[in-house]
Amino acid sequence: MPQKHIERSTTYKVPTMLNVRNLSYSYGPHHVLQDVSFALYPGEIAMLVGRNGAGKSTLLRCLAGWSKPGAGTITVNEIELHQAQSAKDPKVIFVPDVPDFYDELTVWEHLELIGNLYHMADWEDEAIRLLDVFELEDIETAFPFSLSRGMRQKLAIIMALMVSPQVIFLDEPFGPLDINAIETVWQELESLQQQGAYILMSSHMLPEGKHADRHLLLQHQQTQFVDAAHFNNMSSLLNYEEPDYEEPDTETPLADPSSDDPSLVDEVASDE
Amino acid sequence: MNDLITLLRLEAKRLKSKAAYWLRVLGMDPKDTHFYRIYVGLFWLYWVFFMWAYATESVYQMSRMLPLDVAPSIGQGLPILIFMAQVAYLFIVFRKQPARLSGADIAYLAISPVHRGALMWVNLLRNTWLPIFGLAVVSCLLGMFQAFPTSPDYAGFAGLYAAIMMVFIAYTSSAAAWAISLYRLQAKATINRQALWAIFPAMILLALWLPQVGLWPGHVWASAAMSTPALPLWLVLVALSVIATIMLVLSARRVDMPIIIEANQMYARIARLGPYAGYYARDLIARIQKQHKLMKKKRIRFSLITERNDFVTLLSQSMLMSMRVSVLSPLQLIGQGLLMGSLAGTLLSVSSLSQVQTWVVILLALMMSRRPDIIPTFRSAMQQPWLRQFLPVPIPQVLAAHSLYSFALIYVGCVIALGLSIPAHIPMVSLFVLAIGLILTICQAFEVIPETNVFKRTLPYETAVLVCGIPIVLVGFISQDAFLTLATTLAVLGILGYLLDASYPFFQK
Repeated sequence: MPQKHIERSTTYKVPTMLNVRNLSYSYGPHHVLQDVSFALYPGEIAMLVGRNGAGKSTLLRCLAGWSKPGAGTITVNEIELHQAQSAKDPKVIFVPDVPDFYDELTVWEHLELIGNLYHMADWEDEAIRLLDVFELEDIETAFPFSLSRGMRQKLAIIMALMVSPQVIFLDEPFGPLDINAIETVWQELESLQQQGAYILMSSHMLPEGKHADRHLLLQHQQTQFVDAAHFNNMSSLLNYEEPDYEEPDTETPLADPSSDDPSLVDEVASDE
Repeated sequence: MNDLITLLRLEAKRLKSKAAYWLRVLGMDPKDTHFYRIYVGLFWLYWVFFMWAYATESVYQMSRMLPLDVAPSIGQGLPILIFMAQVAYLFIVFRKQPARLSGADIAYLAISPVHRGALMWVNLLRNTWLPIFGLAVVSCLLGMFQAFPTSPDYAGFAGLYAAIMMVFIAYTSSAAAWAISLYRLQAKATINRQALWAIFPAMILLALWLPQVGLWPGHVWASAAMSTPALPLWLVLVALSVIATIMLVLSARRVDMPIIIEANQMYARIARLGPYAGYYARDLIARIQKQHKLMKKKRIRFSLITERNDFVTLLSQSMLMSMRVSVLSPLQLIGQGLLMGSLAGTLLSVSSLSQVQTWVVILLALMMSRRPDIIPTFRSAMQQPWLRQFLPVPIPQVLAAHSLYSFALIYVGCVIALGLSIPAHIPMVSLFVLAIGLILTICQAFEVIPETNVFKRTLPYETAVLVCGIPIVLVGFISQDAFLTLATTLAVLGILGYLLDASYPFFQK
């Protein structure tokens, strides 16, 4: 169950947080996001869940800087997220649900380009390792447009992992992947998690077996963290059953780890 | 025969729905009242009648302007032209198979046990009726053009016979070309497939040694435009058409359908985009064609992407991507530069810069001279934020690196052509070309950069060129001073450079 972040929280006595405050976005008169506020801790895997059309992709696009929100701020340590990145160290990566690639470059050349642009000394070893774990080692000379959707998704995740991002957003990453690949993605994200990365991925259904550290429910244009006690309710909500959903108790530290008070986190950690 | 009837019925249905679509485009909806439909129909009939009257009147006036002996001599050159068109068409369908199957055709017809000969014949009719109709109209006007000076009373019949003759010639030639092309694609061809290439030298030799035979179709057309064709000639034409059709059906009977299906994958993808795709989805069609071309190529490892520095890495990326599409891309780019330089040189040498028309023509030419292949890599990177986020380099540097290869080669070609056409002014002209080339490149870039701090949106290329071009043209026309105009051009370039630098900071500098 989602307890990992609590253990890690003890490491971050004064948490460095990715704060999203009052984020709003609309497509013309249609409001998709309204005053969305939440926070992410470094070294945790958060999952944004919501029904189709709830605005998950829009939220992630805003967070990644692909879409300009109508209002609101995204900050890391009170510094605007994209200003916090230097030109040589842009480590905010968003993996969309349908990534596109250069038609004229092969799989290997995509990785080669990234390795060279990021001046990675050991990019070849890392590229070979990632291609191997994602079982793409045989198609490194193929053009990405000729690959299946699942393979393209794997390549996109490999490209994102190549740069060891500090912040990574993944939009429906598991949709086209097989079970082995899903397991590999979890392993790689956990490895990234240990480096203190902020990880937020979206899904319209809850993955079986593996759980993220925290779940962020997006509905009615707003987000809400859901604790373990309400997890099953959320699951039934996402399965389009009649919701008997109760408002989560946002006073408990588990339900509100975005609280600015680190003592609450420590308190829960000591309980554990 | 049953297959043929079924296919023809299907084709009629398809034609009906297509006709309904185009009638709606012309303002005639099936849901409209009868009265309104008659009104619209009469309007278009009126329009067609007067357009045709205008065309024939123009032909008449043009033919009157020519000396009496010239118009018939034009007809004498037509047999060679028709022969060349036949050879060219045969070459096209020979190189790439002729059939055009949509996604639905592939899914329901190509894999069904329907008679392949019938399928291919119906496909021939579908793909050739419109071009044949167009040829017949042109042929009719040409026939009248030939007949007006010598026998104006016969001109109407000359046009009619020329049109009918062209329908026979075009149909028979197409059917024969399809038959030969499809024979190459038979699962078990009795003749060596490569040996069929010998048909081209054979045709040319026939036209040279026995022009009465090789150029016969053209001569028949020319004679029909001068006098009423005799009945036996019509019978011969009908017989040849029937023979060509039988050849096609027999040849297509054992055609290897998987090859046809494979070759039509690209066409099916493009056909799915709809009838207007050629206008609104040109980029997408170009991309589909490029992907198709790349799939067929051997994946050569160029090892061009180096890690010396960001600029060199991005430059080598654009070179690699350009050469992947065509190894001859350097020559193609220099050729484009030569063409543009020659056109500019011709314009500058035949017109005066003191006339405002010259400047307007230059500006319009620049607005229409979008070279999509000058920044293809930059375009790909900027249009896809997913790829853009992997370029940790400021936008001006990305543009410079991605466009340098194409720009330099086109520039070299352009300067060579200008040097040949107006050598006296080459130092100043080469500076102008450089500055204007950079402006045009940045104008193209604004089309794909999501937003700048000034415009807050992408800027259409034509608008950007117009806005940049007006001050340059005004200064050039009013001052007639090359240095002042160059200074204005450089100032515009500087402003554009600033705007580019201030464009949306995906990565903070």
